[in-house]
Amino acid sequence: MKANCIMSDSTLTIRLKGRLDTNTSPELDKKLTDIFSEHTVTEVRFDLSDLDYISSSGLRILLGTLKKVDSVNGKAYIENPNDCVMNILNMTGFDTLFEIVYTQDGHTDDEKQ
Amino acid sequence: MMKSSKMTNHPIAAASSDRITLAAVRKNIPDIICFAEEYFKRMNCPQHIITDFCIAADEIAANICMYAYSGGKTGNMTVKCNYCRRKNMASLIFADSGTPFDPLNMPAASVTAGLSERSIGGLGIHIVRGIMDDVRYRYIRSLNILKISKAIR
Repeated sequence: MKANCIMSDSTLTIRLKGRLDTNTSPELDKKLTDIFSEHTVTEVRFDLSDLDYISSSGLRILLGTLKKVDSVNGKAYIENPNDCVMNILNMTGFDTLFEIVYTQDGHTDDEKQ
Repeated sequence: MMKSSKMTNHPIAAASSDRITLAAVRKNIPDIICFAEEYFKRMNCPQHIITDFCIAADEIAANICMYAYSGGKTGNMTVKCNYCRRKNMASLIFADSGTPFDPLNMPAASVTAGLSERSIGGLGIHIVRGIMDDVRYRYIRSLNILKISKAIR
């Protein structure tokens, strides 16, 4: 799993690639804990364009992050989940917690040429 | 195309082409997933079915590693893979010799509560039940046996 985190103003974009599961979640959890301790984050965008799948360990991180930004009246978005990830979000009710966004090219602005 | 994870070099307690036994510790979970994934690939199962089995294997193996052996006890987890061409059904059977525990008796996960009340408890088995067609638990000869099955379609 690769996690590319980009802070821009108070917006944190997290681009995930691979699998977010029991094995890979602790690494992302630590990364996010460090970022939240160093920055004021009012908006989080999870770019899941390249995420193969997510298990409950990954959902724990999404939920924890959402609670953090919500506590400062911020917002968290999930972008471009594949069918498998969307299925998990639906069956766990995470689709009602997060705003799910599909961007046109599947990536956020800084990758556009 | 999803990349396979690679088997690591952790000691294998026992293995055959369709069954593997490893120590029930967190670092071995990727090997359990990889073993099941490679088996279903050899059986030419569709990728979306394989992905669902990978997710379910992660949830179940994580539960075994965290809860089956408590109080300083250690033990193994075994996974057996099965694909029945006649029924067009794929299955994984998990076994551990830890404390008897039926995950199907867990309280229902919270999937509708508001953000402040929302917790992650019970979501793992909720996901397994959601992505599989059949989930059965038995306790036989001092083993927790959890069988998960999904029709190939």
